[in-house]
Amino acid sequence: MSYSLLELPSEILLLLPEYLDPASLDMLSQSCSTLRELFDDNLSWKAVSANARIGRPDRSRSRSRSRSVHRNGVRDTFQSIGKRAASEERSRGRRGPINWKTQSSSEEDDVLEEVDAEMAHMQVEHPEEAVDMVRPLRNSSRSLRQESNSRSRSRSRSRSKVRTVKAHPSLAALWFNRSCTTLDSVEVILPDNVYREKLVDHPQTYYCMATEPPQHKLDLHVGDHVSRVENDEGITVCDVVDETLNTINYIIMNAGVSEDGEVDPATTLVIDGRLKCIQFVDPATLECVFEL
Amino acid sequence: MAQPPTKVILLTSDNEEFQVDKDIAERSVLIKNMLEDIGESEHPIPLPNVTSNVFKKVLEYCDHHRNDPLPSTDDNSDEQRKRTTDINEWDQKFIQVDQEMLFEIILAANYLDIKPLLDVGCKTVANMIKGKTPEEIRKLFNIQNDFTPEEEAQIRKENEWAEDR
Repeated sequence: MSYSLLELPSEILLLLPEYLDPASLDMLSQSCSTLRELFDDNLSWKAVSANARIGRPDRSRSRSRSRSVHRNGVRDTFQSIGKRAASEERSRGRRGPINWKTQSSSEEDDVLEEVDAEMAHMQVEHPEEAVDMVRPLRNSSRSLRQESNSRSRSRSRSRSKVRTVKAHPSLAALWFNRSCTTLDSVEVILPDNVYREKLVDHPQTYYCMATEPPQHKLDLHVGDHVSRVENDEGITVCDVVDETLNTINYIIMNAGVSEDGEVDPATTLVIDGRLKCIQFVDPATLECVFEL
Repeated sequence: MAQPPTKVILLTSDNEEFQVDKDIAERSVLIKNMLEDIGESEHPIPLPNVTSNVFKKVLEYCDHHRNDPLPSTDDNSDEQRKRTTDINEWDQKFIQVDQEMLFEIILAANYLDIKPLLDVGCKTVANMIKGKTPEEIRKLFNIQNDFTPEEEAQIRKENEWAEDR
């Protein structure tokens, strides 16, 4: 009797995501249609997300530095969260952008262990009627990809070194379904030792992306206006629907000060517009083109 | 004075009888529950889903781990156990078998409900998958690529942007 992996009952195959990282699960599900169908569900991606330690730590028990979001009563706007975060940071005597890198003090290590324990499972806060919508990134990359293709056709590029953005492997598992219009906050913690800070914290976040290796510079093309954002710690882009649920705002997290704008270094940059494409210009610079 | 360990008799699907120390057999939650249900019995316990060659291997594992603390049912530790991909040295050597035996061990561990062994098996499969391309995975596990060229092009397109290019 000779076994192929496919002869294992699906009951066993479905255990595998719990032991795999998102990238490997993606590779496995690309090997044949049976596995693709088997793993193309929320539960598998949920398991793999937990593995990648993408999750929502219980901040009430964590001593790690955090931006608190009070969800009871008044609904926080993104701006107010940002402002509060900025003032919290300043009250700690901090200048410059929020650092998401881990300080390697022993106290911090304790905190991280605690946070890890809390992140055993992925939790996305949402109203009870909504289903957890954690989707592999491939479902979302399609649209970005197509937009970027159409752009390169319509506008010739002068720079030769253009690469497509590479998502952080852990974020390959993050995708929040746009059809669910009332998702609440999403917190993302990157898996390795370097990036453990919360990246996105906003009601109604649909999508976020960090790049690996981290990009330090971001050229933002908004209409005819170009501004450059810099942050040595890396930059995160996330997609948020505003309160009227009409406009898509793109938020550049952990942004540095741009040359021509007053961007609070400790908060974020909010752009009202639709992201047309994201591309590498050179290894350290990303170019984001927004449509107003 | 230590009592000689109680023995239980187990009968595999190919009708081979195994006399096993009770504590070793009870590493299997299935057998443990069966023993609790039927109490002391001279009759062999049938294990219709396990063949003798696989069961020998499973017993080797249970024998080595007979004094391990029983896995806790606590969810948190469960998650943490799965998250680490390391397999200890003895287990690694133990699980160095051909793929057929590996899958048989996984199936048996699942049926007999021996979580730590199931873990070792799944981790081994996961470690084999890690870092491989879909094509390499197909080769490794004898999987037929049943995607049409169109589907393959679509998958490539969907994943394109996640690749460094």
